[in-house]
Amino acid sequence: MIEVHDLTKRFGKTVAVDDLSFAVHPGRVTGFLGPNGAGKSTTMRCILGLDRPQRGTATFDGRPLVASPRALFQVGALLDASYVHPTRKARHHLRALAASNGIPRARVDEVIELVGLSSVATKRVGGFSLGMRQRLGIAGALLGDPGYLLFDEPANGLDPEGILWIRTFLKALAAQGRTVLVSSHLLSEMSLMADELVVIGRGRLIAQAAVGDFVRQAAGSWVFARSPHAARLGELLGERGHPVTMGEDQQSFTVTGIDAAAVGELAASVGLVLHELTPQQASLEEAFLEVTKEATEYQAGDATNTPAPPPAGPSPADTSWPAPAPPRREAG
Amino acid sequence: MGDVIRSEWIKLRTVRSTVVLFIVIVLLSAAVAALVAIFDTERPDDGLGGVIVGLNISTLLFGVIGVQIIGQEYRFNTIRATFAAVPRRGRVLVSKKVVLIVATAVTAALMVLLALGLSVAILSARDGGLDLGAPGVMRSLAGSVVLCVLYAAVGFGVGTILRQPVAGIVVVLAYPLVVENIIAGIVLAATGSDDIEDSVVRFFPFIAGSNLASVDPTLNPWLGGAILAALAVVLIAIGWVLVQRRDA
Repeated sequence: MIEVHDLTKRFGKTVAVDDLSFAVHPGRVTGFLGPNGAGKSTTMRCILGLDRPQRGTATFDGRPLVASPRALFQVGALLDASYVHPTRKARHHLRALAASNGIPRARVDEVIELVGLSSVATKRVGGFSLGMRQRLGIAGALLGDPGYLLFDEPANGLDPEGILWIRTFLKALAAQGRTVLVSSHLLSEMSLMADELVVIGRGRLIAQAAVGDFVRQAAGSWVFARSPHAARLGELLGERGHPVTMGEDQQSFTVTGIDAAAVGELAASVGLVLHELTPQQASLEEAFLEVTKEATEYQAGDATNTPAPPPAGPSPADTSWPAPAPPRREAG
Repeated sequence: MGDVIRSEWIKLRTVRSTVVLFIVIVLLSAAVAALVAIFDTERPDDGLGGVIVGLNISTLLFGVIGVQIIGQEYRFNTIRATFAAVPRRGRVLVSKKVVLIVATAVTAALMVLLALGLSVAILSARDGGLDLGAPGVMRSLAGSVVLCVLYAAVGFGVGTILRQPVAGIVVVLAYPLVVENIIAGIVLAATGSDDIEDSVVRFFPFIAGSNLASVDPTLNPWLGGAILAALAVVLIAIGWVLVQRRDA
């Protein structure tokens, strides 16, 4: 288990990571989600002991990485695909990395094969596409067959086929019992890749939850109904405490806090005709924007006057986050 | 530690520009030595003029190698992968230094032997060769090798502190070649002295160190070398502390 505890990292006056605590568990892919500039990369560098935080700790099974003489056997990391020397050949890049931890050459060839770079192993990295560099970085992370894997935006620059590949790959690694932390700024991507989410904004924890729960709650769901008796039906629903928003044509409405079946049953019980009844969800990106809106670094206005996000829950089980705004939907 | 040294050795020899730099250094000094031997009909007193001129130019380039071995890692951010794999940063620095010393010593020795061999061959074909037994000759040749290693060490310290290869290279070229001489000139003028041998100027690190390669030193060559070595040690120590404290 990776435990990040009270982590704070400032660059000059800029607070990149602000009192951040979360845990990453083995056997599943944990998505590290946040808008650009939220502090994901900085957090990952702090976990790896590359950046020195002002406060807080990051430990692997209770021990900091610094104590490890052969770290590649413990933690593999892909920080940024561009962290390579352009005139060095791919195989040499991996050999140098492997040698530093006493990893044999045979393993270098193995990981090259594993990520599908065999045909370009003797090419200089400078000529690699971003996707190829991502694969090279992943190969480097796998050298020591580590129990912990950290990937910073690994899907960046990959084509759809590559994204599918990395998704399957990360899931397989987690299924082997490894602890996998993978960052992204795209909730849609994470929802397909991760089992659990750690969501941050402006360096603070917004939520840690199972992907399904987060998507359900953050995204919010509502029911859209069309009926010649929309007004009457809306009234009935309102009386039962479900917020209703009437469509402009007065022939439709949306309602939250009740599922489609219950709306249908209610309509039938009072003999009202329905023309359409649809359960609906906000898109993942909409939901994500909603949740991180307050915490977005580049929001307009004076940052110091922006209300702070709610305090982070201390336990990983805490799934509190700001309530989603009611769905805004054009009538019709 | 052996593993990390092996890793650094792989890194050193797998970057094209570094390999090219090593080759250029050896060929440049050989070429200058040969040209001087061929065209300089007035033999310098020490009989080593051509060899030494070539070496002087190349010595500066060893400082560049010292900067590059660490500066390139920062420039391309590979230092992050390096430190993530070997979190004990001191091990990385020591390993780099070991590889740097061995690589520069071997290259400098090759460079001196080639330059010397060419000079001897050309001069003996012309008028009888060099007197290698003359006082100071063998010592200045050995001293040249030591001086190259020290330049590389200073470059390593500068590169570790600055992290920017270009800035580092400017420093290791401009300071010994220009800045220290300007300061020396000012000091000489201010003290009304015109003789380096009597002035504090002879203890300036690069002026002092240059005695290592000089057949006619103004200061005990080994003392001069020790002064330059002390500068390298101080710079590397500062770099060491910074590397431990800074973000990678």
